Amino acid sequence: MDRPGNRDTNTKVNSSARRGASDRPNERAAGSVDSASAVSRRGASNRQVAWRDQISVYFDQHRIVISDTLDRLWSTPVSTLMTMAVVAVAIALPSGLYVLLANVQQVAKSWDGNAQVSLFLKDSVDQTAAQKLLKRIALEPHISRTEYISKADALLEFEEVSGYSALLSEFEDNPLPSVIVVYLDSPALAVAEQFKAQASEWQAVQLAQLDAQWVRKLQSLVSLAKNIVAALAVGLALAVFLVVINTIRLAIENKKSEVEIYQLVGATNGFIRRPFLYIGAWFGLSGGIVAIFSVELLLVSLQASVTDLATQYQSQYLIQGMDFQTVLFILFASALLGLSGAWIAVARHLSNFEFLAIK
Amino acid sequence: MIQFDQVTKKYPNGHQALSQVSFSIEPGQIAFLTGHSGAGKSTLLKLIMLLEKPSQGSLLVNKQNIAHLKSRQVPFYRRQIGMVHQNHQLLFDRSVFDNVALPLVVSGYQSNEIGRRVRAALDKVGLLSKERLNPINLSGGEQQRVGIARAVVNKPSILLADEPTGNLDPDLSADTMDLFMQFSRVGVAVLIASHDTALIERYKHRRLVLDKGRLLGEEAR
Repeated sequence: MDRPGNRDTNTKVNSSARRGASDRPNERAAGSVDSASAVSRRGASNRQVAWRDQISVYFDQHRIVISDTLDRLWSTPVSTLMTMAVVAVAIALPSGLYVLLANVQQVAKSWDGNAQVSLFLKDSVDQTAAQKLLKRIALEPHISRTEYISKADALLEFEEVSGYSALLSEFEDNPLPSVIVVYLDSPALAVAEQFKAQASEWQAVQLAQLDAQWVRKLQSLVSLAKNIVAALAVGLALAVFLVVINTIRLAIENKKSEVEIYQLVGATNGFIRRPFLYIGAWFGLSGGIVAIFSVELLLVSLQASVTDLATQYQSQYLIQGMDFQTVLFILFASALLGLSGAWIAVARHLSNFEFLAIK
Repeated sequence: MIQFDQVTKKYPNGHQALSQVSFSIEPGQIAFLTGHSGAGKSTLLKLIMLLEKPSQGSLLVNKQNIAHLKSRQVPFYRRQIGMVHQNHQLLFDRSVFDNVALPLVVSGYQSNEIGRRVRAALDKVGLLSKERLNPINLSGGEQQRVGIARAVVNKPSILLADEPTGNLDPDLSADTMDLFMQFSRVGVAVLIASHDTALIERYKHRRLVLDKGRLLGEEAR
């Protein structure tokens, strides 16, 4: 951002401009009429003394602009809130979707990304035969580990998970097959397919079934959705951009006579631009803050139903909110969006009536 | 201090506002710029303020050809010039104090220095007691004095005034002229554009008479 009026002291400007720049307090007696060159020479020796003052003036000016622009926004609460709300919605939508997707991804990840093949064994296969089979499977390539679930275990698990024990008691025998779950060490579908084909041939195996495919489908769906959200975010960022540009354009139109007076008394472009840039940044930042609160509120309100759902699966799940980095990123990005929107508006619309001299 | 040399200003629409105007004003000098409306007075002031650039000729201010200033140097150049506007050009959304402080604020003065200088300027124009008021609550004459305070608060080396006595009664006009003369005594070059012939007759200052963009000649009396 531009320095205030006196920034040019460090750069080469001719004596007249420097005289203005070095027009420090105490430097000139009332109505002094020294030649321009004499003043600029004195300005040069004074400059080293003054640089601390200049820095404090620089921060003072920013402090004043900050409170002035906040006052200005506060004085028109309705239009300020409307713009802020538009910005907030545009930021909250992709942020919220992103956080939800991150949660879905988290859930999907908690399942093994590697493929599993379930081998349902024939009824005739007893425990010892199953153990033999396990040893044989262990010799195959790409095997991570195996898990044997006997008919009895399967029954227990089924009762525990489903709560339909009454249904099973209708059967005389345990209708569930014993199962060997084979965890492969690769997520590649080809490996799993090959193993499944091979296992289907085995005598003891009634049915080989490839699991975990849906997990991977879910995962690729999630990453697809993430791309869509990213595209949405770009579109909505553009919307924020346009809203801020339009708001700042109106602000400039309203302040037209003020801007002209500032130019008449020798304000630099940077000085004139500064309040508008701050207003743009405020819109972005405040929209970002409102967006973050809305998303968190949404997540809190979803937690109850998620807990409900998880309980039904004998599980617990706490929705992951935005981490600190994400919050910082959203705030930073939204402030930057507002600032750059304002920058474009200022560049386009201030030039319409600045430097009437240069035609 | 201000040196016009064969300055011509032709607007893009073909209107020639000034034709080969040459004159100069020295430090501490007061000059009236007079002529009918449309004679080019405003254009001449605009050229000095760098609100317009000459089409031909050279305009030197403080020995510098201001046509050669880069646009980023223009604000610093304007800080050497105080201008009193006919319609005062005050901001009605802030106090008298803040209006007068404007040139100091944009030049990056520290706030205690701003307070000191603004009060000195307001004291000079007799409005120290009204610094907290909004200019909209002031009379026309008072508003104009706020404008003068703003024009001189930065201790400019050149003071321009566009019809400064336009809406004022004779007593107030005399007060305003007194102020201008005080500034000229400390070395400020003062150029007053006015068609107030009564006022001009009353003071024995130098006169620059414009007629249809030409300088008819000057009378120093």
